[in-house]
Amino acid sequence: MLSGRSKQLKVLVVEDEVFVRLMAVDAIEEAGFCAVEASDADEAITVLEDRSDIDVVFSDIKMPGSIDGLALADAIKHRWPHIFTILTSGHLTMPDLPPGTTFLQKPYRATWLASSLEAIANA
Amino acid sequence: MTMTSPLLMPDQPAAPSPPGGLSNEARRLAALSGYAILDTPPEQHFDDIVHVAAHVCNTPIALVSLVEQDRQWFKARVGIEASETPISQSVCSLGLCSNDLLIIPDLTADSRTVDNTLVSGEANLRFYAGAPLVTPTGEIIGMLCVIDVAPRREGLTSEQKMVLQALARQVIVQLELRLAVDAMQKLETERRLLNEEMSHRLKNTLALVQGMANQTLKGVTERDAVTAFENRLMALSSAHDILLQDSWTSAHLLHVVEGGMALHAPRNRFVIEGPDMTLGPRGALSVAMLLHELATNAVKHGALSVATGSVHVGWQIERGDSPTLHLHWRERGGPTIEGPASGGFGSKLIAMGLCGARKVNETLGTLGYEAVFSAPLSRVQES
Repeated sequence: MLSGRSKQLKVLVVEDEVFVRLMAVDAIEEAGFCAVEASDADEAITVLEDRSDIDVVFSDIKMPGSIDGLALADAIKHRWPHIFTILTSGHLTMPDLPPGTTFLQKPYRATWLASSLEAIANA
Repeated sequence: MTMTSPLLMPDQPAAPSPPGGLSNEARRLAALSGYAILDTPPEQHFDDIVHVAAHVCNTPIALVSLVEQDRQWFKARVGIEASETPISQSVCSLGLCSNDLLIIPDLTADSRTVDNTLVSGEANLRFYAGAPLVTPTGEIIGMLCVIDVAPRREGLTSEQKMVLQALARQVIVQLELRLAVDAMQKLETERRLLNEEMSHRLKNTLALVQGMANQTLKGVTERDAVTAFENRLMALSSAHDILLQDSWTSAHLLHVVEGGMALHAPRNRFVIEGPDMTLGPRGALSVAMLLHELATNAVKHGALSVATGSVHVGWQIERGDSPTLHLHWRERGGPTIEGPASGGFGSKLIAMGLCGARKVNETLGTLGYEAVFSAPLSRVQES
C-alpha cells in the first residue's frame, strides 16, 4: 500500500469535539493519508480491537469516557506496540508522555499534523 | 483520704461535653492534630526557643512537649536524646488543665511524679517548670518546659517565669504561622491549577473555533481570507500562552514581541530593543495582534519577503504628565513598496493602533516601511 513517496498511513483520530475531529480528518486526508474516527478512548480501543490496519493514533488527551488520551497511549504501547501515537491537548505544559509519543498543542495547524504524519510515514 | 491528685487525670468527667460536641480532651487533641506538627523534622524557630529557655532558666534540659493521648512528642529539645516518651513518663501532662505555670521543685517529693521512671530511674530528673502551650481557642496542647537533675527549692525567679510564659506564647505564634503559610501555599497551588484549567479550556475553545471555521468556510474560494483568519487565531493563542506565564495578570513586552515575531520569522531576521516593562492583559493582546498584522504584511510584501530584509522592533516610554508608550516598527532591506497597503481588515487593525488609541504614524520611506504606535502607558498596563 504505497502511494508515491511514502506509506499510505491509516490514522485513527480520537477526539470528542466534532468540529475539531473533522478538521483533523481533513488535514489527514489533505496530506494524502487515510482517516478513521473515534469520539473517545473507549471507542478507539474497540476500533483497534476490531481492525489491524491502523498505523497511527492521533488522540486528544482530555475526553469523556473511562480512560483519557494518556491512558489510551499507554494501552497502545502495550497492546499494539507497532502503532505510533500523537497526542494533543490545550495544556500549555506538555504532560509526561509515554516514550515514543509526540505532542501537538491545541490549537494546532493542519500543517503541523501533516508534517508529524509525514515524519512517521518516512521513518 | 487519698494521696492521688485529680491532676493525674486531665480528662476529668467533671465537665460534661455538650450534646453532640466533643469532650474537652477530644477538642484538645483535635487542636493539636490541626497544627499538623507531630513527627515533623526539627525547625530552627522551635530549637531557638528551647535554647533560650534553657539558658534563661539555667537548666540542662528544655523541651517543646506536645502531649498526645499515648505519648508526648518533642518538637524541640535540648539536653535529652529521646524525641518522645510514653504518656506514663510525662510530667507535662500534669499541666494541661491549667493556664498557669506548673512548677515542681522536687519531683521525688511529689506524689504525682515520685514513681515516674524518669525520676526514679537513670535520668534522675528532679526539678520541673513548664508553661502551658495555650492555643488561641484556649486548648492546651502541651508544655514548654525546663528540667534540672537537681531539685530547686526556690523554683524559678519571677523574670524566669515571665520569660518561660512569653516563650510558650511564641511557640503558639510559630505554630499559627506555620498553619498560615501552609494555607497560603495551598491557595497558591489552587490558584495556579485554576489558571491552568482556565487556559486549557481557552485553548480548547480556540481549537473548537478553528475547527468550526475550518468546516464552515470549506467552500469559500477566497483561501487567503481563511488563512488570514487562522493565522490571527494562532497569534491570539500564542499571546494567551505568554499571559498565562504570569497567571494572566501581566506579560513582559519583550516576551510578547519575541513570541509574536517567532510565529513569522526566524530570530535572526529581527532586532528587538527596549527597556524591560510589563503590559496588562489587554495591552499584551493588543501588541500581539498588532505585531501579527505588521509581520504578516512584512512577510507578504515587506522586508521579510526577501532573504536580505530585517525588522527592528523597539519601544520607549516617554515620561511626563501622561506617560506614553511608543512602539516602533522599522523595516530595512526589503523591496521597494509603491504605495500604502490595501485597505483590508489588516490595515484597519493597524490604524486602530495600540489598545485602540489610534495614534499611528506610518511612513513609507525609501529605506522601507516604518510605523510608530503610541498609547498612554496607563492604558497598556491596565490590569
